[in-house]
Amino acid sequence: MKKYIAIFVIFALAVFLPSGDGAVWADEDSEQSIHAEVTVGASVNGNQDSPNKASEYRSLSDEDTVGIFGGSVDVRSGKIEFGIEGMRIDSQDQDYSGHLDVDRIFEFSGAYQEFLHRLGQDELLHIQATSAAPGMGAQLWHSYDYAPGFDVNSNEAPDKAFGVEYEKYDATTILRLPMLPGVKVGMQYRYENREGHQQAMGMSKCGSCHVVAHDQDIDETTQDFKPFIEGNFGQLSLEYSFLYRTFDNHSDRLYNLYDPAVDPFLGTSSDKYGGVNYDYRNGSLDLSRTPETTKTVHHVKGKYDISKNQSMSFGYIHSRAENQSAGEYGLSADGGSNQDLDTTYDAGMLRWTANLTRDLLVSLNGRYQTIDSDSADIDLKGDKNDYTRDSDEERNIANVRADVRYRLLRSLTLRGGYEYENEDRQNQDFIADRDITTHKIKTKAKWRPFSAFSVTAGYKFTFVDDPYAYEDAAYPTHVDLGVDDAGNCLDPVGGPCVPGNYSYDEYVYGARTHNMSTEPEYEHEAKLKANWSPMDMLFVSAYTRYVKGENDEDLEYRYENSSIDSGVDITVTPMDKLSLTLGYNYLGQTADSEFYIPYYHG
Amino acid sequence: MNYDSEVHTFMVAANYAPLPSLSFNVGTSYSMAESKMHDVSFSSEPHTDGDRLDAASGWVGTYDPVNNNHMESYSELNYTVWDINVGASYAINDYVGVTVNYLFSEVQDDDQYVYGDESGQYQSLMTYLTFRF
Repeated sequence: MKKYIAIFVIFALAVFLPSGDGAVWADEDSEQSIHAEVTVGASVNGNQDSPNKASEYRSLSDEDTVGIFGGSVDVRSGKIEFGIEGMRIDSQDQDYSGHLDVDRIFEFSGAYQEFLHRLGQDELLHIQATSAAPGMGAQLWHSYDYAPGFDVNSNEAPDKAFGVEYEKYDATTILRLPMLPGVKVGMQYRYENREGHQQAMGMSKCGSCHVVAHDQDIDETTQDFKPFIEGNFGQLSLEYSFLYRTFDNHSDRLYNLYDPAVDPFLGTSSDKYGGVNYDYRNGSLDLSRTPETTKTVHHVKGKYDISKNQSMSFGYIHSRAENQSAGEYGLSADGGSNQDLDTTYDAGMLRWTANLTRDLLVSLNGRYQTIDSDSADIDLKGDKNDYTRDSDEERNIANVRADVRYRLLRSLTLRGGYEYENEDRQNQDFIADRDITTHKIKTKAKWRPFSAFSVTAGYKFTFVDDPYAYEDAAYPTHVDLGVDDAGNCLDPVGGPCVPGNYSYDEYVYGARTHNMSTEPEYEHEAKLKANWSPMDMLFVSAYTRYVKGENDEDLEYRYENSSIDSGVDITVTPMDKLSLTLGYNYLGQTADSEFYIPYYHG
Repeated sequence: MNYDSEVHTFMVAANYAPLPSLSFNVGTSYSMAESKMHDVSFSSEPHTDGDRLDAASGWVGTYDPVNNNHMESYSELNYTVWDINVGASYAINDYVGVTVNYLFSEVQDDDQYVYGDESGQYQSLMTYLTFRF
């Protein structure tokens, strides 16, 4: 109550005392000025039912009444400018920023923000074989009479209000030395800390039944240090930056007691998994641990103006990301590949742009990227079962692009372009074709027949040869197996047809023969946008975009998708003091694909 | 199998400043979203030689794929979202201003998805004074 009395007193003093110019604290002459604002108030809040979506990014809970404090200061004195502003609603909702400029020789700007992101809790009720009650997280369906040492209830997740509190700070400092005209050096710093709790899933073998949920602690910090230098030397401009990023994980470790069904037949003649997998008999094991990493990026880019009408741009990036937690995985320390899980990325870019005539602009681009990534050694029970998994990240990507812009009429501009990209993946453990080539052709026209109306129309065609596809991902159709829709045996299809001819393992796993993909081979995209302003008080804007893609390249199961995205906005300003805006948007998407589910394999 | 999704969003906003020292603003948006699978249908598969898919086996067909024929219902999304923001600002004099903002947000979840019923409502009334120096 004292707080609100104080607010009332401040309000009364502010309203009734400053009756003349004597209260002006700001010096408004041209050389110096000081402006300040102080904000005080209160916020009353209420929640009903679940806050997860209705107040997803708002921290205040039901019946919270909190004080609001904010303010700003702007100071100009000669060649110095300084300003800060901020608002505090509660300890999880704060926003501050500031800047300092000293004669454009030294500049500093920074911002600090805190906010809460509420997260949901998957009740696992959509998994048919679980019987969890609402709010109870997961509870395994099985009783495990054969594994009395396994306590199912130890893996329950509590009913918890999950959420992560974000704390962000970023700052940029720039120095321009008068003795080095055209040169700018600076430093960017970014800090992001995430603290809270989220739901983590543990799965033993098969996601239809053997899923448990845990309360996972989150305490992670990402920091960026990025010094940079820029120089403008007449026709040539150059930039270099170096980024050093660290990701530190201070979260409490999360452990899971893995389901005994992973290896239900250990010690018997039916030990079909060979004692390969770890389970509850190995004690609690780490779950959902994000490794600590560091990343460095060297980036050089520049532009050279060959003439008034031509320029060349170029750039080069060398980046390396290192997994700092690889040593925690209990793997050998002999310098083998399993001690390094690092990724190196290199990219070079070159672009030539020229106005060949007053109405014709041509641009040619080339880009080449390589990704090298260490393989991971998978350590299973028994050395004979260990294996090395080559990285799916490794690839070389070559890209060339040509664009043309031609002003055919004063009111009509045409654009066209062609893009070629080849993605050569280095490893092919699961994909049907590691060599993926993409061709894109695009056109666009902008027509403005009169000042109050303009329309832009565009079309893009994409052809991918061959799209990313999982090899042998899907099991065959029942027709492939010689069975009709009624379960009757068909005439022999490539072999004898006998009901019951297929064992369970052959049917579900051994017989997978069909590739699957959710990437289009052909894709058409059409766009149309129009602006109309028949009078000063009315502005109308409408757009639509339609995309259709399909893929039946070497697929037994055809894939097709389409989407339409349209909208209209109307702004009316009937008088200077009043403005109205009306808007409508529609988004519709359809995907059509055969659906494969691995329903059980015991 | 088809997967369809649709989202409609309507928006209205207005600003009115009858006096240099007084302004009002109001903004409303309403969204309707719906997504669902169609045509998920599995045939019963007894041709596994008395193994677990077979109703005649000791597993009594527990793992017959026909048991998955209702799985599409778990993917249905159907929700509406209201967001209403009303505010007024009045400069009492050159040094003091008062601002009032009211925010209303409501999510109506008509088909529970993986996170259960996320229907909820949020209201916030924020009032503050700004002192200018």
